[in-house]
Amino acid sequence: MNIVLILLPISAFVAGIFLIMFINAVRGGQFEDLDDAPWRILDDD
Amino acid sequence: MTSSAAEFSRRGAGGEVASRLLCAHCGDPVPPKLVPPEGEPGYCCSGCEAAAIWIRGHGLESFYQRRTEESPRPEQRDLKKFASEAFERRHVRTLEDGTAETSFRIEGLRCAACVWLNERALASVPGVVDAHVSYGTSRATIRYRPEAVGPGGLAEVIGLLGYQPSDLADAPRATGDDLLTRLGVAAFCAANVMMLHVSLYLGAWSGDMELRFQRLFQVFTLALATPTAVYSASPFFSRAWSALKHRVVSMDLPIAFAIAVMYVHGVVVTFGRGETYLDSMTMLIAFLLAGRFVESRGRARASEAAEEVLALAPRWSTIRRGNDVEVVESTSLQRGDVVVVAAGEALAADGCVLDGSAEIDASHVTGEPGGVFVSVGDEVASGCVVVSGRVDVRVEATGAASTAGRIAALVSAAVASRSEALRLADRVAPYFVAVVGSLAAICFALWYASSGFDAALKVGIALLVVACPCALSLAAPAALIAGVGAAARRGAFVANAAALEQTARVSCAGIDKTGTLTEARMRVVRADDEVLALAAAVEVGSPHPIARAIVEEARKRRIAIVAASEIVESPGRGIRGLVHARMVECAGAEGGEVAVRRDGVEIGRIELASELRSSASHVVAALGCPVTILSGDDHKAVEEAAQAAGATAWHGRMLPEEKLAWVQARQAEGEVVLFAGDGVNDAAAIAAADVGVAMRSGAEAGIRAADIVVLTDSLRPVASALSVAAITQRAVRTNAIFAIIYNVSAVGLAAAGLITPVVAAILMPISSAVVLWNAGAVEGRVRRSDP
Repeated sequence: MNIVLILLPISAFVAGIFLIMFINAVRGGQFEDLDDAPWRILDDD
Repeated sequence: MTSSAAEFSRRGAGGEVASRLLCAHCGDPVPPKLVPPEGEPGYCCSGCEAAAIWIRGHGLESFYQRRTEESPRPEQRDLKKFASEAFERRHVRTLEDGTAETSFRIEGLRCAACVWLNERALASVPGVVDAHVSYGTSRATIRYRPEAVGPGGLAEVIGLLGYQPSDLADAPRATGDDLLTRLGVAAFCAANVMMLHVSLYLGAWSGDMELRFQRLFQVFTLALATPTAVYSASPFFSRAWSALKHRVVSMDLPIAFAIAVMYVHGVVVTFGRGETYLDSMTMLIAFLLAGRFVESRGRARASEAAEEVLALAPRWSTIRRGNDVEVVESTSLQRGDVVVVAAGEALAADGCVLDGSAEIDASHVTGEPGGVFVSVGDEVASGCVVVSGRVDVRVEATGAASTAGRIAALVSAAVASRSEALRLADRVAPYFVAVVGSLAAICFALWYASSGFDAALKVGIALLVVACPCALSLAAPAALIAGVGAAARRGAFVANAAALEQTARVSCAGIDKTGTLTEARMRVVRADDEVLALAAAVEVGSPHPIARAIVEEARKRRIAIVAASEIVESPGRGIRGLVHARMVECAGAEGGEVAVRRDGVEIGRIELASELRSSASHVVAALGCPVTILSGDDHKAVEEAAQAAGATAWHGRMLPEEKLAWVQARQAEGEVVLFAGDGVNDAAAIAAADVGVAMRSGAEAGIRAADIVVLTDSLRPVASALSVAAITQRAVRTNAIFAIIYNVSAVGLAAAGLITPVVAAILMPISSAVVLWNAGAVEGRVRRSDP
């Protein structure tokens, strides 16, 4: 069961990366205007 | 590409080229003295020309192929405030990399191409790093280098193109993101803590978990719980603190207290012995933030409605001084000044016509589209737009005393009085806190007397934990949000979620006629092809609603629109021109008809009407309460429409104040009033009603004042919103009852010493889940009740 001692920190680390990605996405404004993207796809360029 | 011929053939699809030249930018007729040499684009005014040259100069001419609507005509506007320091303070924020960001609203966006043009135009301004214009909200967000350009310069570009920048009521927003980050962190931590705790519970249950693993899991739990308690939950603490300072009791108080108790208990136990409530705490915070987040997204926009009404009156006016004319700011107008208003211009003040005659659009007062003929001695209201002709008006009332000012004041007062609606959870908060506080004290005392301090502390903490009103806080928002979603899928956008509760209790309804009960635009009901062809030949290019209806019908019937010349439009009397060398004349006749004469002989009539919406009688029946039709139209037309729709009562010739008074009189009688309308003249009544409904196609002021906006071109969504509201209301009630039962029984169990951390960890999410599940079931129930 000693494997838990290694796996737990590793999984916490990986999960932490995802959390940082989420925070970056929010900071970058990806959640600003969710109604906009479906319209923008109609622009041809 | 945009030659006048190409421009016209786009308008007159299917027809021949007519002689009347239309502005290549805004589509209005070009005055004879501005007609350019053959093959060059013509413009109606210098503003349009400047806009078109700017657009070409920046390589954006493909805008003219992209657009599906004519562009607004550039007007002289006062944009000084965008360059002011006050604007800078309120609407500009400096970013870390030295650039600045500002946002404002752009009015006049009519189609996707307008958004495209504004975005490109802003981006092409030197110094702009990037520009984004939102389709949904008309909000432009621009990042720029402050040393190169400022908000004033950006606003000028927008104004030059014919759009109107207006400042937003709120400062640059950061709160939505902030809440989302807090929620994300809380949800992330809660999920991980939950996994760790499942292991801990299983270990405790089987009894053979090694102590070092137990320690490890508990330390990780604490490490994950700390950001949740310190960062994610900080809004609860700060609000609870300010509530304490102001000596008021809000629901944040018991929530903050419970979180603090759970966290401190968790820290002590992690470094001592026993089980923690940290899993319950993280999940609780995540649930509560989720509720707040959804609520904040759905909250209604502020009272920008009044500003919309004031925007009707132009900022600049032309006044006559002796033989000279002079352009002045409208705010400097005084009683007795003589204002000159030409076709296409709006009037900035109330007054009396001194000279000339014109056809004016007074739809913001009466709600009726189409022109009203005025001549010497007639009263005209501010905000009226001159459709054709030209008048000199002696100013009688300006600013707040004028019609537009009065309507704006009515709207803002009505919006302000409504936003004081109390929230269920905060209303019961004082009792809740008092009951839980005294219960905890009594239990602590009893347990202390019987079993000592340790046992009493355990019971006291358990009681405070399970008494946390998590499910109760979620009860109303969760059901309301589900209801809002269900209504939106049926074409009713609920701007103010709290209004759904009111919608379920509507006992009396008022509906505007023109544009709401009937369709906003005129439509040709009956006409011969030959007559229609002649009428369309002279009417093409005229901005008059009747002319538009005739031309539209001709195109629909694929009638070739021939070239007419020497067109003369005389306000209130109709229009005439030469078609195939014969004089054709169209003039209004009795009963909403247009008489068409050729060489003075009547050859036929065109019957026009604004038709009753197909869903009108269905909706009147579905409302299930007395429905009154209120309209600015004449009594007879209102009576006909009311009877056709099955309404019980009707009032014609209503002014905006009278509609408002009608709503307030019903409210004084204790009725819950729904009011549906579309015009500026309805805005005050919409704002004052318990449930204000506006049509998407209607005026911006009405939409901003409304609780519910109908997105489709039909009244049917109003009926759907009513059934959704009734179902949602039931869900709110069952949720609240369940949440209270849960809290009461859980507190009872805790007082009896039966709540341990594992029991709390099971009960708490179940209570929240039941509330959310019940809310989620709203859509299914609505679908079953759909016809």
